[in-house]
Amino acid sequence: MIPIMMKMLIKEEGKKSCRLYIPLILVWIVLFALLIILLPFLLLAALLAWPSGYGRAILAVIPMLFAIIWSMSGLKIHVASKDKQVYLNVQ
Amino acid sequence: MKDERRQILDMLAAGKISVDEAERLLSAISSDEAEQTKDSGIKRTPKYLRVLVEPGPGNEGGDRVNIRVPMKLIRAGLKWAAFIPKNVQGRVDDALHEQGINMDLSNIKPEDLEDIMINLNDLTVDVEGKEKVRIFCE
Repeated sequence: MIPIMMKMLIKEEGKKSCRLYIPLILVWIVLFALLIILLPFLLLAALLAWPSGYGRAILAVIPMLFAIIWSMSGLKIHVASKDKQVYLNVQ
Repeated sequence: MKDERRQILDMLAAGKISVDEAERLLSAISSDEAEQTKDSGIKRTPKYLRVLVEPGPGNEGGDRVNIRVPMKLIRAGLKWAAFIPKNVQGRVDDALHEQGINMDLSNIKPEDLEDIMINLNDLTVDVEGKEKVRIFCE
């Protein structure tokens, strides 16, 4: 499932904690629009780079990028020290 | 398991345990055997790779790390290797050989990736020192 929300928490002793709820669905919409704009340039770059062997890799960037975005759901990182805490959860 | 069954039967014969107790013990052994057979059959693909770092004894104020990485993300990352251009793959392999890692990136096939993912299920790393580190799949 595509991740739709990212929770982020940065806490430091003596400082105001930062809690962020990022609706990823909006990020994906912007990213998708950007990708459509960049697609002709990407295709051109792939075409030009094809003889050197990099063309296939350039073309593969798009599906691989989507695969990574799709599989980020469930990622959780929580690092806490004595006075600092960082929490990130992709749902 | 055979020895355990014999021991139970011997204990029953010696009158150390009752018939009911012997029956319960034997059924417990049977369910254990069934569980083991099931486990040795089809391997379950793990969903997450977990990395836990906790402060060890005498280091209570140490750092704590709790990371959960979806296996799908690792799989997607591993697939990037297949798209490394041929001329670069050679250089990567050489660099790996220099570091003592005998791995040929060009020989990794999609079915190998699946094997890696399935066998990661058996991975468990436990390190206990100043900090307690656990790496496992769930």
